[in-house]
Amino acid sequence: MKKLLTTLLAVVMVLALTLTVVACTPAETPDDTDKNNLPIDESIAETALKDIGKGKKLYLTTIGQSDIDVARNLLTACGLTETTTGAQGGFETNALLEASAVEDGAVVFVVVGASTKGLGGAGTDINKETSRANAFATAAGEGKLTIISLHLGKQARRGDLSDGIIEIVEKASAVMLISDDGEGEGGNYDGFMGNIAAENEIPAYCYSKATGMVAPIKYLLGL
Amino acid sequence: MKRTILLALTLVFLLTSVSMAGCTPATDYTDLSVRDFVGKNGIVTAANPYAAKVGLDILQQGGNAFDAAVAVSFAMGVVEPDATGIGGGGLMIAYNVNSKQSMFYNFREFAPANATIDKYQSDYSAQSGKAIAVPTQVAGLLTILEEQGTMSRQEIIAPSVSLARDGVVVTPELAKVILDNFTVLQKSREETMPVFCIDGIEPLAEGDTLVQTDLADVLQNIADYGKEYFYTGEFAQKVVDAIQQAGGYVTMDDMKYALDNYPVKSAALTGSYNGYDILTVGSPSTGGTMLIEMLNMLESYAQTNGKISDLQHNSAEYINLIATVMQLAYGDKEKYMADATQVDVPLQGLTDKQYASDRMEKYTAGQAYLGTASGDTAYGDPWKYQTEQGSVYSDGESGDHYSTTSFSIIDKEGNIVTFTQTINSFFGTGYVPEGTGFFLNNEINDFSTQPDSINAVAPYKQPASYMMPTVVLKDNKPYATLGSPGGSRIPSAVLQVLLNLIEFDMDIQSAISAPRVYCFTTDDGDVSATAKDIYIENALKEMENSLVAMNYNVLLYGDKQYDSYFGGVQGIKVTDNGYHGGADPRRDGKALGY
Repeated sequence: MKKLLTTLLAVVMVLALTLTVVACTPAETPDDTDKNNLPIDESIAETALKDIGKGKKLYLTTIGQSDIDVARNLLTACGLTETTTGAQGGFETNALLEASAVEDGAVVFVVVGASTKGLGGAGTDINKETSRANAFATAAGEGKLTIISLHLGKQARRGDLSDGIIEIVEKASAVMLISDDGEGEGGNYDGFMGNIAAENEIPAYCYSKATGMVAPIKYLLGL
Repeated sequence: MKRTILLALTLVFLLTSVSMAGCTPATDYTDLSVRDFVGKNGIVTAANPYAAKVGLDILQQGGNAFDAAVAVSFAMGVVEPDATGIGGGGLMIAYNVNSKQSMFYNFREFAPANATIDKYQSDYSAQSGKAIAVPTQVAGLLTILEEQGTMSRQEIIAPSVSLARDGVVVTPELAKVILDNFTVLQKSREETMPVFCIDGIEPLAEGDTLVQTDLADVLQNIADYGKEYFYTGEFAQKVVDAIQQAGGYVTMDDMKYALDNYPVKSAALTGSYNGYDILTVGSPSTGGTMLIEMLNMLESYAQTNGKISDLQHNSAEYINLIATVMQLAYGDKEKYMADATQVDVPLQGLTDKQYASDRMEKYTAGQAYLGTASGDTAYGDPWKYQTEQGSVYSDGESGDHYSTTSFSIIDKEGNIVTFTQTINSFFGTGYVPEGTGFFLNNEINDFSTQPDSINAVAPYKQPASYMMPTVVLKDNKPYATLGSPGGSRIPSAVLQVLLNLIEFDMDIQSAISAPRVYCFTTDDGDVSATAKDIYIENALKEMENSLVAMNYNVLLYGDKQYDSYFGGVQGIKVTDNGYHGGADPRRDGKALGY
């Protein structure tokens, strides 16, 4: 009898502990991480992208007037120097660069995503930026320049104002680099950019931190 | 015996399990899914939960509302370094329930002695070194603490030192601000990149930790050595050197002047509205005067047309009414308001009820008022409504800061303290003196650079400001307190929230959360020349057609339903159930209490 009681009490204790654990485990809810359809923090080495920008004149611009300072820091971290000429070993920055002003055969890093404040500060608007985007896309389509698109502002650079220009530029890119850690807050949180990449057969990679883009950019530029 | 022990253990397990099965977590003060709080003993509401917690802790330790307010003020400089800090200044209104006295502490920055108008006629930009005014924040805060507080400087500043040294998790709005203003942060790269940047490349994001070791050291020294540390000696010289290196005009004499002359203490500016008493800030603020003028106009409207609450809240006709009132007051602000210690301001006329009533003749139901586009002047003539006469100047044309922060506190005695403070633009000038961790303001940009303007920059003058921390009384008892950041949208935001409380009987959180509009005076900045520009939040998009029919040019602003462009109001309403603190979801607002 004593043994039975002891066993029963032990069972009750186990049940109680189980109840504790089960009750305190949050219910699983669907999240946006499932929608990210691009590789995250994956090396691009051993791909056909090697050296696509090697020895070419380099420009940095933004369509949407966002995050160009992050891109500048990124290119500097790659060992490049900001110059006024974009000469060998350097890059030329112009937030309002026109496709027509780009030297034939050059590589243009285009930061995509709109900032209301940035647009106002630069004295431009989304319509003018859309025109610039279309001009770059046309030039890329004609083989006059190569676009490496950078989306660095995560969800803050998504939405109605941003998505139109993102699509135009990314569809014309040689490669898309995106800031996204797969936790549902990144630029491709809803698979939008992954779909652009898939539909247009453009290589696209997500990085959880911008510092993760240093090695891929070096690979692209043959540095 | 063994069975008894086992039984007892089982009971303990069962009780523990049952209590844990509910999984009631400890209150998470950083949870922004809930903004408001009702407390019997005290409330702190601020634009950041960490700062609100600092204030709550001080209240629970026995500090009064002033102790908590000064602690929150320092903390806001740590958790919202883009909006405020020891490189800036601010305004405070307080109400003592026992003495029934109000008090206004003015510690807004002032122009240095060498900031003569001729120096701003060329080679001047809004975030240049020339835009740095003399910082007055530390003089203001520590004087308030000495005169009104009960706790020591060390006790009050210690929480901010910890927040800076140990770090705080970056909140959603702060992450957005850092991202949007990353260019400004490049100005003092050596100082800012290790703090606001990851691996020297990208800005801190939501969820990252912001650690400000240099700022922690400076705050600790202020706690240890007082305001003299900031305004005299080696540290002050370092600040002055940094300002002058950036092209600014602040000298050691200016710093000493700030120490000796700030804050400026006076009684609150007062007005009334349908039985409510308004206690707000006077010169150099313009927002308080505007609020009283706008309320006077609405009171006049009600006397002729019936109660404002008879209009449907945020209906097109209601929006037309408050939009007209706004633009009339903004027109007067631009023409007549500036630092009243240096220029003639017709304060008596601007706050005169008959003047407001006469101004309201411009209002037409169902029709936007077009101001200068209809051949009118944008302003009235308040000088006719006051006994003393003075000079009339050109329009004010002041800058328009988007940053700033506001917070309010009520303690268990019922004393109210409310602050609005700023470094002007986001991250001020962007300049950080080496090894100090704080941003220098660009408050000179709130002056006009036109020599004949009422708000023209001049030595020792304070720039006009929209900031307007406000206390409202009913039957001589505290009813509410409100304040907001948002530059020129501050008066319009506070007006709308106050009307939501008084006219539409909303609770404080609903009043703050409700969508807002903004209608400036007619000027060269209007997008439309034939219809009156009005900015509305996307949440009011359904009113667009009705407003267009009234001849408004509707400008939907922001990417989301609500936008911080329309202000970030923090407020408290005194209710039968206790003090109800509300916080604005347009910022990282949070009300805490006990």
